Amino acid sequence: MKVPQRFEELMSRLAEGPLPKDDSIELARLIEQDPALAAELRKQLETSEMIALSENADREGSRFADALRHRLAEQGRKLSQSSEPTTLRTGETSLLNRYSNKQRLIAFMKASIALHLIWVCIAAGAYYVGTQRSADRTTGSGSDLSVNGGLSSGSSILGPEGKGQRNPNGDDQGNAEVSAQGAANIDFQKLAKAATSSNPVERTRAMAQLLEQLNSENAAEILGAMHLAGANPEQMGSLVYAWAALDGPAAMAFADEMKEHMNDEESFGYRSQVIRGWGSADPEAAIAYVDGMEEGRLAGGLRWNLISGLADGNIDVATDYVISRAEAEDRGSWKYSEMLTERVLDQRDVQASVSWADQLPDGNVKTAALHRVATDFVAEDPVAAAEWATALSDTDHGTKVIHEVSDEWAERDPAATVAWLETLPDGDAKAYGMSAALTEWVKRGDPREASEYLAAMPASEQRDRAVGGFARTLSHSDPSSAVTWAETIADPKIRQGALIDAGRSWLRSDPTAAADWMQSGDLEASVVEGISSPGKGDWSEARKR
Amino acid sequence: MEDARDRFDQFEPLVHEHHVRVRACVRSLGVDRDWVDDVAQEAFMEAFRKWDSFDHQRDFGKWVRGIAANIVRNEVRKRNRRQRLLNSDLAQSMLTSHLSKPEPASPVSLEAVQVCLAKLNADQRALIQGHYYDGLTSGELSDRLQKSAANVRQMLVRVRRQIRACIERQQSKSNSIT
Repeated sequence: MKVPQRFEELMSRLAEGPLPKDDSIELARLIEQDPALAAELRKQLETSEMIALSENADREGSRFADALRHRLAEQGRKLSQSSEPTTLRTGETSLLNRYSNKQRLIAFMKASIALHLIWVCIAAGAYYVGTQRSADRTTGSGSDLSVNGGLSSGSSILGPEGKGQRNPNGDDQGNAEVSAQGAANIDFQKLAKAATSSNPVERTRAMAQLLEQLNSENAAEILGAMHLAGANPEQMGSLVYAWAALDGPAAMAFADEMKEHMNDEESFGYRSQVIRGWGSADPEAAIAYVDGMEEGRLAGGLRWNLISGLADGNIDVATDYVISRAEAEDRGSWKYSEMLTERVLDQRDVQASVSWADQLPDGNVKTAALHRVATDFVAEDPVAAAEWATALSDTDHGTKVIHEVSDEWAERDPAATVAWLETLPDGDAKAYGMSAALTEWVKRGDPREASEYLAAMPASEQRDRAVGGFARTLSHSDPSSAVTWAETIADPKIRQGALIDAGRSWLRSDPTAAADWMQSGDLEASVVEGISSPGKGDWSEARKR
Repeated sequence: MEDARDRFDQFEPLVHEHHVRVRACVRSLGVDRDWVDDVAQEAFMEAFRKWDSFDHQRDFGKWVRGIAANIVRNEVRKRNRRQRLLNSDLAQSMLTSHLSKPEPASPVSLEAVQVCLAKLNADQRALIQGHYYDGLTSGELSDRLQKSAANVRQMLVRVRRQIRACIERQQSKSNSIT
């Protein structure tokens, strides 16, 4: 098949990573115009994934199965403790366990990190180092650590070779060996056991005590004890976060100390949690640490978590930092802003979040923030959101905000959305918003309502654009009607574009009828040529239409 | 708990056998790469839960991929929870494409991918090695290959296309043998 150049370009970029929203929309539109392209894109993505997994499929399979086992166990645990609230988000487990090579690590870095199965290895190593320190203090030698052998074979929370051996009671062989390590950490063993008991009150109280007692000296021992007691990843993550908040440099240095026990992704997961905790308590030092790193994937990934930590401590500090990254032309600033806006929405109500976004300096950070808050604003109060978006209509951000408000509101009330859009001054914002609203109207409502609305519109460029969008959407389900509508467009360029789109759909669904129409002699030659040569479509021209 | 563990031990070989195809299928349905495993694992979890009702005469892999497609379909419907998808319209198109064409009798196997990778020439192999196994972006590879990043991406598209065509030939051979 002949593949349009623009599609090929977008597809090649998509195979490497997510596209910006506008490009995703454009790609989706290209596929809507020519559904055969979907198969081509599917093949590229499927093949890409298989190539990526082919490097070490057995290892990948083991990781995948371990993560699956863990999720099933986690699910079982949640069901048995249904009264206990949990903040674990679906997906975190797999995010932390799927990446076996650098490419996957890059993807991993983009995700919001919480520690999960990486504790399988980290905690085992942490315990080793912790007990070594303890033994050093007690005996002055650090040798003869029987626990090392015990853990090396059972270093997975799932047991040897990933099989389910988790013991929530903590009274397993490892624990017995731990007891032999002396009185120095016996309290932590007891507390760890309590922190992982089935009694929620006891568990919460013990966890609070551990967090209270945790310091740089005992952090590794506590982590090891918690691992052996069957602590969940969230508890382990909280402890690392707390340690980093107390002493970020020490917690970060521990990653170097542990390097033999962690692979790249585990090290990254640990450092991410550290930088979050550190950033929450000592933003200046944490920022200096990340900004002092050599720019690359690791720095980029840690910066994401740093911003999350800064937001934990102070939204204004996080905001200033994200703005500074945008000023430094950091390519991640749009995503940083989206993530920061999520955090703002978590911490503040929608109105306060909108105010926060409104006062940001002009640029990418503001546009991303306004775009994100618009979604929640519409969900809460579409009329107020529309009023707010109206005020932005003549700004640089207006088009995106109005498009988002239209898109979201039209899912619930397309007629009201269109009525609002009519009150806006003519321009790109209105045109894109109208197109989004009519698309939703056709998709989710009754196309007849949309067509009645369009039929009643007075002749204007707005009407032509609206009919163009309507015909394009309708062409998938009813191409002959789409052609009829497209023929009513007054503007020659908009009409030609709509006729070509509708004609191509018609040609695919009913070649005989479409050919009769094309040969009727009523069509301009350029339209006939455009319909017959779908591969020559140029999106940039289509956008101009 | 022991029962569940034993059941999973029985189930695990199927996970090893089918995870690549399921993950590839999920990716091909327009799921963000960061969330592919999440969706694929949900599909296996659902299969595990429904294991007792599964007709063992049926193709297990096809069944799980069908579950995965349902998960993506639900994701498309949940307009306010579409962060796992690249774009809901895009995912809808991919889903339609997936459902409109039955899978080939002999599904794509990892072995076929490996056979086809082995047939690449040295330059193509270096490209795949750099991008997929060393984790280099097209921008980074462009320095190494003295080509623009866009050229590198195009080269990758072409190599994937070549591999795909090779895989399809392998499948066709496999079908003719069986």
